[in-house]
Amino acid sequence: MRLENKVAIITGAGTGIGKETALLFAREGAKIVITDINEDSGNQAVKDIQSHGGEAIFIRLDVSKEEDWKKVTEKTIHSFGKVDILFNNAGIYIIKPLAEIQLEEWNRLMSINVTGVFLGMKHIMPLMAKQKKGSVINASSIAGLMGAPGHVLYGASKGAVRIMTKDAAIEYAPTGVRVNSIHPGYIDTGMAEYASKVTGSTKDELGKEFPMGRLGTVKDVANMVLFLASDESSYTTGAEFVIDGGATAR
Amino acid sequence: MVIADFSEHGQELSKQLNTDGYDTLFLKTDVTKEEEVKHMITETVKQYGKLDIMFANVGIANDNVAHELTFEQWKRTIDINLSGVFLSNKYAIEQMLKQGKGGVIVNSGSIHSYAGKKGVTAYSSAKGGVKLLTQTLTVTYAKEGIRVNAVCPGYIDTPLIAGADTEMRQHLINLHPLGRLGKPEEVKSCLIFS
Ligand SMILES: NC(=O)c1ccc[n+]([C@@H]2O[C@H](COP(=O)([O-])OP(=O)(O)OC[C@H]3O[C@@H](n4cnc5c(N)ncnc54)[C@H](O)[C@@H]3O)[C@@H](O)[C@H]2O)c1
Repeated sequence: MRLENKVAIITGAGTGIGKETALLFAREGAKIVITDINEDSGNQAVKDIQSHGGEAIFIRLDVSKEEDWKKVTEKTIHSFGKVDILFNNAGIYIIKPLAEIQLEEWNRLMSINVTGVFLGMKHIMPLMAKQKKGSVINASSIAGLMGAPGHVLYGASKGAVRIMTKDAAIEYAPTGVRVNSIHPGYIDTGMAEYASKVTGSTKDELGKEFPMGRLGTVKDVANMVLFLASDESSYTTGAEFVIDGGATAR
Repeated sequence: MVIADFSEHGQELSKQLNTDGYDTLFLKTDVTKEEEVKHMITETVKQYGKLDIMFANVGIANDNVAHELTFEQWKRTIDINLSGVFLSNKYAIEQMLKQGKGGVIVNSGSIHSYAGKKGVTAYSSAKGGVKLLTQTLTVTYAKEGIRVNAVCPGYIDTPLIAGADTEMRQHLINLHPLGRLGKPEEVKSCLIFS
């Protein structure tokens, strides 16, 4: 097993990419701390892991609240004694023309997509540094690499995640803690559903715009995250990994 | 698995793997010779019936600053590190298109596909080319299900840098925030993932 005896915290693990990654990590031998703002889906994810013989606990976390992060840190250490992997996955998506973005929604999205990742790294990386080892994976997006209409807000948040990842990677490299960012294209979750509604294109049509001609699956992303979480990627830090059907090769 | 190399080391590796119970074939190939690359692909298909994965790994190092780099050295580096990748990709793609089931190609880029450094004149020119060749092939053949990626390692502890003295080695280590050179197995795991 590729994550035997490792302890992983995953944010926003109640649905979508986070949940699929949690299930895969559990199959590969990791103990999982499922965190989400949504208690129902978080508890359900724990049940799903347990019914497959895996080990998981749920801790409610709003990634934008520092108090919540302190709780997650304490409870994780209390339950499992260490943290090896942090997947900063929670995020929200808003597509809106620049001039229509309200300051309140700007602040709210930033507090989740950017501040949430910052707080996760701030509270977990020092613990990993003490252990002299750890792997953090931050969810950016291809929107953090290239521009698109209606993406000033979301793109700014994902661009921030991209460069924070590199800064943290350099700062923590001497400690043995690695941090990388992932950059999915449209993945078939609630987010692609939302994009389809806002843009008026079907999901199939959205997929056709990618060189490989289809949307990504949560499994496509989870497998990449698994590689970065495992010791197989031990010389990789501060790097960007696209899962985008070729979109950024153009 | 087909192991292609210009030198006889490939033969030894192939023998070793076969005694360990694996099924490999050694084909002596100079990647700068179009006929030999073609032969490498046809022999692969003759032996195993198909080609699913191509790792274009061949590469040589050259550390001469531009004004001390002979045109011959430049051409040789570009020939092996860039044209060799083109040829092996071209004939692999040709075969994969025939099979109609896609395939995976991994090319050998480098940290110098992105960043320059004193002396890597011809090397970075070739590796930068490999990066964009890879991106172009990705976009061109994505619909046919052929995935093309490049691994771009930092300095890995292999015979390629055996020429470095202690001071140079320390200099190379200092280029990496993790404070050490990479190990070949750390590239290998990335390839298996690809
Ligand atoms: N789906 C895509 O097309 C796509 C593309 C690129 C990047 N991403 C990124 O991948 C990540 C996961 O996306 P997804 O598609 O799985 O989304 P999703 O909407 O399916 O899941 C997001 C999860 O995060 C949780 N969440 C939301 N706000 C939270 C908060 N404040 N604190 C804690 N949890 C919170 C939600 O409850 C939900 O369970 C996001 O960061 C997203 O931006 C997704």
